[in-house]
Formats: sequence, structure tokens, C-alpha cells
Amino acid sequence: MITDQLYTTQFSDTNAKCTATIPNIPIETETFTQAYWLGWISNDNLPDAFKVGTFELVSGDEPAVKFTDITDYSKNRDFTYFTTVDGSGGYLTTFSAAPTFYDTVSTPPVWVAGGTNARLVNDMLYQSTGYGYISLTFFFPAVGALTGGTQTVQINIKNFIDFLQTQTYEITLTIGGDSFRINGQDFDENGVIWVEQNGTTRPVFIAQYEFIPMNSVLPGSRYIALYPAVHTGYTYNDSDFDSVSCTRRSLGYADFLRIRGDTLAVSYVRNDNIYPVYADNTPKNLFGLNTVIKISDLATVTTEPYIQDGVCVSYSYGSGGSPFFYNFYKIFRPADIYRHASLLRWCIGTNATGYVEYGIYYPLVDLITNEFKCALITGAESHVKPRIPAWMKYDLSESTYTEDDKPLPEPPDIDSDGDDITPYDFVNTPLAAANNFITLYAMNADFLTNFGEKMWAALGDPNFWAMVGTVFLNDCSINPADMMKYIIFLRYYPIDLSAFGTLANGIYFGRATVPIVPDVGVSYPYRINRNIVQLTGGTLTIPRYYGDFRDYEPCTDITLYIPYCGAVKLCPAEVTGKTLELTYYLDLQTGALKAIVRLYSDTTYIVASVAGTCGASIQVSANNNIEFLQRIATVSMGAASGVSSGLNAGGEIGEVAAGFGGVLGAVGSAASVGLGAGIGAAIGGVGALAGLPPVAVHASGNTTGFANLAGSLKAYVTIQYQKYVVPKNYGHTTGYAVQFDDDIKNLSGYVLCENVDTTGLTCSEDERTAIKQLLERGIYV
Amino acid sequence: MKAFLCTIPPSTLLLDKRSYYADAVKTELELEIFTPCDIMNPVLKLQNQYATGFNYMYLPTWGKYYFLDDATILNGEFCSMPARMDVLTSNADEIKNLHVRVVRYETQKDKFLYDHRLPKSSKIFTQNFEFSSTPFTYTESVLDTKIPHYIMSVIGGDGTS
Repeated sequence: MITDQLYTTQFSDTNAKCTATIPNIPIETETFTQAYWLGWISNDNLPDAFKVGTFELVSGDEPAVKFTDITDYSKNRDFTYFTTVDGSGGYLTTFSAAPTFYDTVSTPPVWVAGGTNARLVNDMLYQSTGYGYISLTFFFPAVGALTGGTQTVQINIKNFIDFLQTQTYEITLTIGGDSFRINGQDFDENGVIWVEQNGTTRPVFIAQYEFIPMNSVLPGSRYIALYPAVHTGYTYNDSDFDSVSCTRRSLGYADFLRIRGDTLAVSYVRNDNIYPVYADNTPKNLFGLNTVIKISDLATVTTEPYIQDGVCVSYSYGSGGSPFFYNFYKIFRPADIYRHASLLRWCIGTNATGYVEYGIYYPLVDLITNEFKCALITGAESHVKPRIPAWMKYDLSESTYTEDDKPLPEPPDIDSDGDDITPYDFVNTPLAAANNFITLYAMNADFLTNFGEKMWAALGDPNFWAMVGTVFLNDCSINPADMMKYIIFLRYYPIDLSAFGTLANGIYFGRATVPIVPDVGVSYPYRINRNIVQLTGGTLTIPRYYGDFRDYEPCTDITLYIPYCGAVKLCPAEVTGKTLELTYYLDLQTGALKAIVRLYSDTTYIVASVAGTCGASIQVSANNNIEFLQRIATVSMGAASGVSSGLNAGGEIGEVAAGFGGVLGAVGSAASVGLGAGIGAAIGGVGALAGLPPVAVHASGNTTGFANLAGSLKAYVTIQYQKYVVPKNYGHTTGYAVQFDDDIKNLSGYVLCENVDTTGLTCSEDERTAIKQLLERGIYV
Repeated sequence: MKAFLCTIPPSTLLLDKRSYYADAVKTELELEIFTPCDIMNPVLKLQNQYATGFNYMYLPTWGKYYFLDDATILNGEFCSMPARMDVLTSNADEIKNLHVRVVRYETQKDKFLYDHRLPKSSKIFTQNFEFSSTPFTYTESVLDTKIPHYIMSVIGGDGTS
């Protein structure tokens, strides 16, 4: 097991399979209103390993490699930090925001005149955003030439913390001449920090405090969250710095320490997912016109965003081709990955003048996995052998993380092609064979209104109808009276359809292409080039609440609500702790909607597939103006003079009518003979139309309820948790449910057995029976 | 029969009480046991002065430990006191070597093992979590007449695909 290997060698193979994970670490969950230094690393929540022992100085015999491990690594780091005076003035304190996964801590840089660690106490807590650890930097005034041999200092963490709590600066260490940084992970399995330095004994100040938020943690380093603090909010006011507030979600949503290593395909070192676009890798100005830093397709991220998905971006930048700066920044959620250069801009700052030589992004799981592997890979590809703190070792040995929590196995690869699920790419399939039978147009409400006005308003737009007549009859020999019959349906969809087609300057009606010219301000329709469109429904990580069996059935129900598709139950065992990815497939012709929910980490794993209907049909209709006018003419046909005068008096309409006359004449309808002149008269006498026979109205499509469009537009998950009452001393009085076998001598505390075999007991049968009954009812060992 | 009477504090369910017994102040008596005698549940005949103050006893003759129950006064001199064998402590060494399947235990081994005995409240609580985005824009676009929301399907085409 890798844990064993870690314990014995403190170093693991790069790709060794982890079979255990880091369980929860005790955390404080209270809301701090008055903070104090290391309030969330108190003796109460310190593992025993940190509570024992006394402060002592030991000279000598530790191998120098320990020093190398710590300081060689640390000194290459470039964390944001703040500095305070060492008691003699001269330093100021500054802060930088420490964002967490979810939260942005709105904090202007604050400068506080240093001099009191009591002030820093509060500041530090303010900085404790929930993920990270506190690092201390010892400042060692260099005085004169250093002499002497190697000396080693052991600091027991309890005393170390006690020391910090006393807010006493001076600590006498046999160190001199340089500044070193240590943090919680530098405590070894005995709770000891090893620091050694050539030099003479001199007073040392804790001069720099450093809070390293998790998002600044180097993947693969020894730096992990020591004691994540959970704050629901913290505000501090005094005369020295402005109000600081932060709101964050509880650790339950970011319990990344549960991440397993062995479920991950780890992209471990400097992958190519961020790269300069320039093939020659020539450094470019980061924020100039040539600044293009890309993160390649998200699909290349093969790791499992198990609880939280995010990335940590590292990069180097500098000038003259010599990068001098490594840094590791903000953990982003997947959506943020797409922010490309802006992401790096955030990292470096808008005033950066250097260039990015290369970038690395690590899915968050890598942070943990690499952490667990305890192998540090820096830009120089050097490895650091970390130490496993005793508390971690203890916890690992007690880990209850089991195979049960692994993602479900992938389905067998029946045909050995590596992927048995080959989704049909129907999305990009064009209308294909149906393409020249039907055509889809997407249009907005303005266009529809405009189109309708042309057909319906009064007698319609004469120019429009003239054009229709010309196109239909002259070009295609189609009776324009049938125009509306060519419209199959009109449907409304609550999505922006512009992305799925190209602008069209005409609409096909049968063989006729009617060059629709919208009025000014009205956009042209889009000709849609596909039947089915794919829509992204976003992602969602299903959190754990309890972090144990209660997050699963039958204690927890998870219901997924998908707009227009309804609700569907999800299997908690399948989705809890996983990130889901929702994709819609919409058939524009029928409104059929298919929502497919996949695992983000494995898009061939379909969690749910739900069908629904999207959109609403709208009936379209138009009276046949040709027919309309024809009937008018019929009524008016009695007087040829009327026709004539109507023509003369009709003005503009007369001109149109003349056009129709030509149209209808071409049709050769008996009723239309001579109509061109008659229409004008008819229109002139439109007030006398009351006695006309009904005008035929052509209709297309049908109507469905818009009410179906109501409801949430975003898919969401409702998780219904059963409440439990966990009695105090539950383990002692009732016992936790377990399933294992062992000799009773290896057990302690409450033990309840099942089907006890009393073979081997040499007592009487009555006693054996009594013993069996007692063991099956529960005893204390 | 020689007996050592004492008072010990632990639960009767404690497997091995011998350390408590060893630390206890013991009273050594020569007592009589009513016959016929059930080894598992003997009844002691004691002088009344020993009727109270003891809850545990060791009978070296049989090598067994017993719980002592309340005494019954028989006359002005004697009382009877029922005893129950502490089968756990009496056979502790052998029991400790039993290989057993444990189904409930003091410490949790597997947090994901369903525990039907955990008291369940009749209440539930729910939490909603939204997906990060949606393609649907109905609410926002109702008033936006510029966004193409409508699909019109017409017969015909231009001969191209």
C-alpha cells in the first residue's frame, strides 16, 4: 500500500495506486466574531501527537537532508505574505485577498503599522479563509560572519503554539543569518520541526506571518490544509483597516480531503493544457496584442473532479527567457478554465510586464493526489521528500474510506474498441434528405410582426403582395393563393436560435423564394441548417452533506428537475460527490427535447436521460388576399365603368390591383378575367363589403399552450435528507454499524457480534449459551 | 465454602472484570450454599451482617465469579443471597480468543455502512442546487423581440443542403 510505503520511505512511486485517503481533519465550525491567534488550531483539536512533549533544543545529529528538504523548497516559493515588525520597527504589514473555492474575499490591501502581534492575531484569522495553513517565517538578523557547525533545533508544536499564543517575539534558536519558512507540514511525525543552520546562537524573531491559502498551494507539495477553518462570516473593524467581510460555504461543500487517489487518472506534471500558441515557444508579451494563452479542450482533463473540481494554475514568467517566478494561483471551477488569458491575467496582475513562459493547470484532484503521493515536482523537476505528520499517519491508519465510495466501474468494453458507447452524432446532421423538402427559419418577434403586418394589415402590404404574386406566378407558376399552405408550422422556443443558422434574405415557399425585405430595424430571419440542436445545460456537483452512509439511499433522495422534461430520481450512489453535466438535444421540428445527464468525468456514463417537449406551437394563418380581392371584384363587376373609375381613383391601390390583375390574368381564372381594373373599384368601395361571402382563411400549424413554458429555466437538483438524531456516546451505547471479524482480544469498547461460534470454550453448555447470548447482545471489552 | 465478596463498579457487560476485582476490598467468608445447587445460580447462606454491601463474589473452589443480588432475610441470624455466574469474567481468557464477526462496534469503521439503528427523525430537510447555466431564456427574452425564438417550417428548398 502506498500508505505503508509512505510511512516507511516517505516517498512513493509517482504512479503508485493509493488505497487509502486522507480522512477528515478536525475543524472548528463556529463563527468567529472575535478572533484570536491560532484560534482554530487549539489544543482541543490538535491530535495527541502534537500535545505531548516539551520544548527542547537538540544539537546536532539530524541529517542535513531535513534541512534541505524544507528550506530548499521553501525558499523557492513565492507566496504572498505579510510582514510585521520584529519589535524594532521597520516592517509593515500587508494583506492580500485569499479567495477560496467559492468565495471572494473582498479585501483591499491594508497596511497596518506593525509592532503588535496582537493585531496580527486578528489579521491572521481574517486571512484564514478556510483552506490553507499558517506559515511562520523566522527572521534571523544577520550579524557578522557566521561561524560554527551545524546545529539543529527541535520545536515541539505544542510549545510552538503556546509560544505563539504568548505573543512573545523572542525565541532563542541556534540559527542565524537567514530567513526560513516553516509551516504545519514541516512538523514531522513526532510533531517536530527540524531547522538547522550554520551560525551562532542569537535571538530570533518571528518576523513574518504568512497565511497560505489553499489556492496558492503547489500541487504535489507538502502543503495541504492543516486545519481548515470554516467561517460563516467574519467582520472586523478597527481604526487600522476597513471592514472585512466574507461569506463562505461550509466545508461540507469542499471537503476535498476525501478525495481518493486511486480513482484518478492523474495528469501529474506539466501537462500541455496551457500553452503559448506560438510553436516556437518564444516568449511573448503577456498582455499585448499577441497575448494568447490557451487552455486546450476541457475534455483533455481526465481526472475526476471528485468533490470539487477546479484547477490550479501555475506558470512562470520573467524576461529575457529566464523565468524567475513560479506561482500557483487561484483554484477555479471548470467554467473558469475557459477564461483563458484572463485567468492568467488575474494571476499575474494587469500591470505585469513579463511574459508567461509556460503554464500548468492542475485539476484540483491533482493537488490532493499529488499531495498524497508526497512528491513535489517543481519547475526544476526536483523532488522533495516530505514527512508524514503523525496525525495524518494516525488518521490514515484509521481511515474508513472504502471501495464503496469509488465511482461505479465502467461498463465492460465488449468490442474492445475502448469505448462501447459511441453516440450518434445526430446533432450536426443537417436536414439531409429532407433538406429540400422543408426549410426551417428562425425569426424574432419583430420579424414575425412585420411579416404579419404585410399579410394582414388592412389589405396587406401591396408591395409585398405584388411581389408574392410576381414570384409565385412568374417564377414558379404557383398560385399565390396557396402561399400559406406552404407554411408547415410556427413554433416558439425559449432559446436563442441565431447560433444555429445563417441569415437568409428570403423564404422558400415551395419552389418560390420570396425575398422578404423587413422594414427598417427588423432583422432578417435565419435559415436553420440542422434538425437537432445541442444545448448546454451546465454542470453541477452533487455535494455530500453528512459525509457518510446517510448521503445515500435510503436516507437521501436526489431528484433532478429538468426544464420541460420534468423530474427524475437519481441514484445517490451514482452521483454523490460527482459532477454532472447536462446536455439538451432539441428537435426543432417537433419540439422534442431530450436531456442527457452525464458524469463530467466520464461523458460516456449517462446518469439520466429524460425526454420532454420544449416550445409552443403557434397557429399561423392568412386570408388569401388574392381571393379576397377577387371576391371584391366579383361583387363589383357589375359596372365596367366602376372598374374603370376605381382604377383611376384607386391611386396607389389601383397600381397594386393592376399588378394583381396581371397575376390573376396569368392564372387564367375565369373569375379573374379583367380583375385588374375591377379591384381598384372594389377597394374604392370597400365600405360596401358587408354583404360579401366569407373569405377563405388558410391556416397552418396548430397551437399548444405557452403555459408549458412556465417553470424553472435552470435544471436543479433537490436533495432530500433524512434528519437523524445522533445520540451522545452512540458508539459506546449502541455501537456503530460495522462488518468485520477479529479476535475479541483485539477489540476494545462496545462490541456486538453476530452468530457467535463458541467452539473452543471449555465451560459448561449453559455458560456457553449465556456467553453467546451476551456477545450477540453486546458487551464491553 | 470459601468465598471472597466485594463491590466492583463496572458494568455487568464488561468482559473482564478481574482487574476491578483485584483492586476491590474483599471480604473472605466461609459460607454455606443452599442445596441442591445450580452452579450458574447458587444461593448463598450468609449471616445477616453480610446481607448488604456486596455485588460481586469469587468462589475459588469453582474458579468462578458471580454477581450478587439482593439478600432475603431468613431469620434473626441468616439471610439467603442469590448469585449469578459472571460467565464473561469467569471465562474471559477463552472468550478473548474467540474469533467473532462484529456487527456493531465502539468506533466507526466504515462510514458508508448503513446503520439502521441510528435514530431517525420524522423530519427531513431539503437543499436545492442549480446547474451552472441554462440555454433557456424565456423569461428574459419575452420582452426582447430581437432574439430569434421562432421557428417557421416551410415547404421547399433551394436545392442545396
